[in-house]
Amino acid sequence: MAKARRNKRGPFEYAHKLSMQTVFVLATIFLYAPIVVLIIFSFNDSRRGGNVIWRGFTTDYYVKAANNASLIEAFVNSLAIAVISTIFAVILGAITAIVLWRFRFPLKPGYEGLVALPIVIPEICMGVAIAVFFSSMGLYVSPGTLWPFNLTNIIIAHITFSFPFAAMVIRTRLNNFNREMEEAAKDLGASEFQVFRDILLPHMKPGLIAGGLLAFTLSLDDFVITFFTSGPDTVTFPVKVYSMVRFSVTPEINAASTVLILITLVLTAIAMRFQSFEEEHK
Amino acid sequence: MTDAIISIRNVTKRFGSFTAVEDVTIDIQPGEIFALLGPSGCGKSTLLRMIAGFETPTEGDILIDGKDVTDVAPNRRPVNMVFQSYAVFPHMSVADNVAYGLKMDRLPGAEIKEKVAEALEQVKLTDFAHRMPDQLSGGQRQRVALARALAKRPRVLLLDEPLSALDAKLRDAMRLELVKLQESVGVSFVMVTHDQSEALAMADRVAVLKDGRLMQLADPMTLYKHPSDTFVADFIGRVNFFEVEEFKPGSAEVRVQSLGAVTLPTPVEFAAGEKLVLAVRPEYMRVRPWDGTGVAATLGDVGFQGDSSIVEVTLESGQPVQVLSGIADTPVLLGLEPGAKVGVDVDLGEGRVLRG
Amino acid sequence: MESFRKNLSVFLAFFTPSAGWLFLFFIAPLGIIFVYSFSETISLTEVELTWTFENYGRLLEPEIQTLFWRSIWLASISTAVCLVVGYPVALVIATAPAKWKPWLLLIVILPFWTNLLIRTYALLNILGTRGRVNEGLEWLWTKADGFLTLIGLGAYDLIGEEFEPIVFLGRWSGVIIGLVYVHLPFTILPIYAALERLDRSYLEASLDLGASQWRTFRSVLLPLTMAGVITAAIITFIPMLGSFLTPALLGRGQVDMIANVIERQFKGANDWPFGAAMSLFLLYVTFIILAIQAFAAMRKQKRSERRG
Repeated sequence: MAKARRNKRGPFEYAHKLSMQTVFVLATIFLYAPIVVLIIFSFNDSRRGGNVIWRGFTTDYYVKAANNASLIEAFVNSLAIAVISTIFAVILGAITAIVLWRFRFPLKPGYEGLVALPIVIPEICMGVAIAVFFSSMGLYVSPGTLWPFNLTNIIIAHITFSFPFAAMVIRTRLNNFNREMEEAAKDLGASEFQVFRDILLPHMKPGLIAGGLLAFTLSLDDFVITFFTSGPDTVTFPVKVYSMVRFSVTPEINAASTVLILITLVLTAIAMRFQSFEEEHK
Repeated sequence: MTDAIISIRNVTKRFGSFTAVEDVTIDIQPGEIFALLGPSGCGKSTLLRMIAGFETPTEGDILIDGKDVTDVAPNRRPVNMVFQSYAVFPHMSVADNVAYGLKMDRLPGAEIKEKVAEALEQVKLTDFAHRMPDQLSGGQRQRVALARALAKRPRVLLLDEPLSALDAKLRDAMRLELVKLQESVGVSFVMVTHDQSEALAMADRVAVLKDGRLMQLADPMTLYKHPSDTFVADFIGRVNFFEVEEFKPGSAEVRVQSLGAVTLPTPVEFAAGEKLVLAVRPEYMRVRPWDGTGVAATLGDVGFQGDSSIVEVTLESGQPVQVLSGIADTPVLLGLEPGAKVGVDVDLGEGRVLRG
Repeated sequence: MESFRKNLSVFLAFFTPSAGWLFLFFIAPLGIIFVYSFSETISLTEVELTWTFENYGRLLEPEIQTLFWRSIWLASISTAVCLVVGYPVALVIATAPAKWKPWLLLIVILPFWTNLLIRTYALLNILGTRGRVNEGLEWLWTKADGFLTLIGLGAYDLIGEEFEPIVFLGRWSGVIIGLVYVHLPFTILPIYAALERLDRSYLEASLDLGASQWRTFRSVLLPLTMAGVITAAIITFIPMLGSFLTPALLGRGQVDMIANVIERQFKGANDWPFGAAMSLFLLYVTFIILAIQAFAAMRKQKRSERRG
């Protein structure tokens, strides 16, 4: 009796259907196989191509990538852009989210649409627009500008496309805020500023972290917009890899890419930890 | 000047074209538990929020200790509130929650510590001082909210539906505890509730509101025994209404045909042409086997409640009536079946003539 | 929510920075390329605003028309593939035991967090004629050939005389695989969200009334999650249409999409006004799609309001 019951599946547990499982597994393989192959072949001891025939294990290409000055420079540029633009994106995003969450004002739906626009318009349009804007305003980065100020144009572009994402995430968090908390603090004698500092900001914190991580990833991930706004001296990691890939496929790129994937994985893990931490303490 | 601790004077509050509170005047005395009672949307919460300072009256004034606070911000008023959701700050420990209001007053650290300990003692949460709110039950969270508000020694404690978020059993226990707490701290409580039994059980005085208007302000017993109109009579407990067919203005006598043409005096003078009803609570009526006396009726369903029963009968006039029978008078024990002809006795001394 | 007038200084302090930023670095740039699209190139570095429509007129040239239709077809086919693959995947996640759900979701989202260029490059690696995919196919071919030989059919060359690698790169197939690969998570998430929101008792009612599983899927599950499917289709289709990297790397210049040609106007051909016109055209297409969706959603809401 008990056995029979165990074998009987609920009608909607598609997760237990073999055909469905097959689709899921195939999709997963499709999504991961290229990345796994890339990582494996970053250890391949082959000079040519690198991704064709396995010739034994080596970490030479990591050493090589680490010694490739222009690759390292691009990598450091990318990280600097990501860090700086994330800070600004979180601040701007938080401000935007608070305005949309708290106030009623004329043409609000229009403004909401405007804030969401950078999220929906094709990257290429934004890249082209910002690049043309800088050049027609004469905002060139003159050679020899002190690092990281030579990255200003790229950073501005990154803030512009990432802060609406941060605003979206932070606003979702704000929607869960119980306005009675704010009233309770006021009732106990807190001023507007004290309410913001003591009550609202702590509530927003997970949203700020999530929004920040999203902005950081978007910045690290971006190729198209950076491609258009970067000058010859300000190469980021994706732009550098793109120019390398166009000429040849080398194990060095595999190695550098693996490092970037690792960074992303660590960031994701941190984000997950935060999320589960939040859930436990709800 | 009155010695009222809070004076609400001709207060009206409009939201756009909607009038939430209309010309309400109430005085709240020191040391009393005062309940604002009414169905949802009657304006009771708006009134409470105006006392706290979260809403500003459109017209009228609010005085605390004789001082006009109508335009004083909530963080500068000597009243504190226990919110319906308790609004216990989730990122602060129990002690930090209680200390928050004291910190806002810039009290010295030692004094804060002392007052926090005292407030937690009052609500019996001393052992929970370092817990986080998510480790507390609903009842404990409410105590935190109480301690947090009381620690500030407010002139008046405002409670917004204090028991609505608790389960039934805890609610009954908390009623008594809140009353005891009020007695020990001596602060006036103003509570908002939609539950009439809660208001009757806890409050010294009750203001019944409907559609933003004050219908009656009285102590619970008066409210129950002498409701000012049919709304209050119906809202507070069960009641049967009988149409008054005939009355002579000035003579203080009415005739109610459905009860077999009874005559009874009315304490109020009514003008000619007014529509009147006679209100009688079910416990002032009795059902017994038909013996030719009393009001003839047919027995309907009996809702057994243990200590008593709600008995439905239909009078000969066709009017359905509810009668509350004590356990000894339960029709089953009297050998009566639904459909049986019964006699109903009405204690007319407890009948009230009201405007219909 | 409170009126902005009630706390004007706070409102302005919060509103000005974000609105100012958007205006300066988003609206103004769009305005400038709008002006550019009506300008003419007069020398290598100079452009003059002449309010000409010539740049837009050039969009009608057969070559550009072919490009547009190719882009639309590539994005449409890829979106369709994403939907067909994404729905079952979302269904598996949505109906999995609660314990697994976050992990299954993570599996699907994780690649999305990996750098787009790296993912495309990784795909480029294995799709080559000597890449892993063809290697796998060759292995299968050898096995099949061996099997055919074993059963005495080897001499007929039923599956070709020898293994011929399939060419993906520089072909539509390669670009489609790339587009699907990059955008699949975009498709899965909205469908998953719609399935999660769905009250399961609808399905139970359908089965209870005697419908088969397939019938329940077709006449209950799919219609009730259609809004999610449409959202998924739109947020998959729009970025696909504007894709640059995927066709650039996997199309090898032989399967260009709109963005590749736009890029060439700025980086190679130096015809900024035409590039601006093309970018704006792409932008308008995006707006039209979004407007149609908003309009449809509005009508649906109105209809349900009238009914209620």
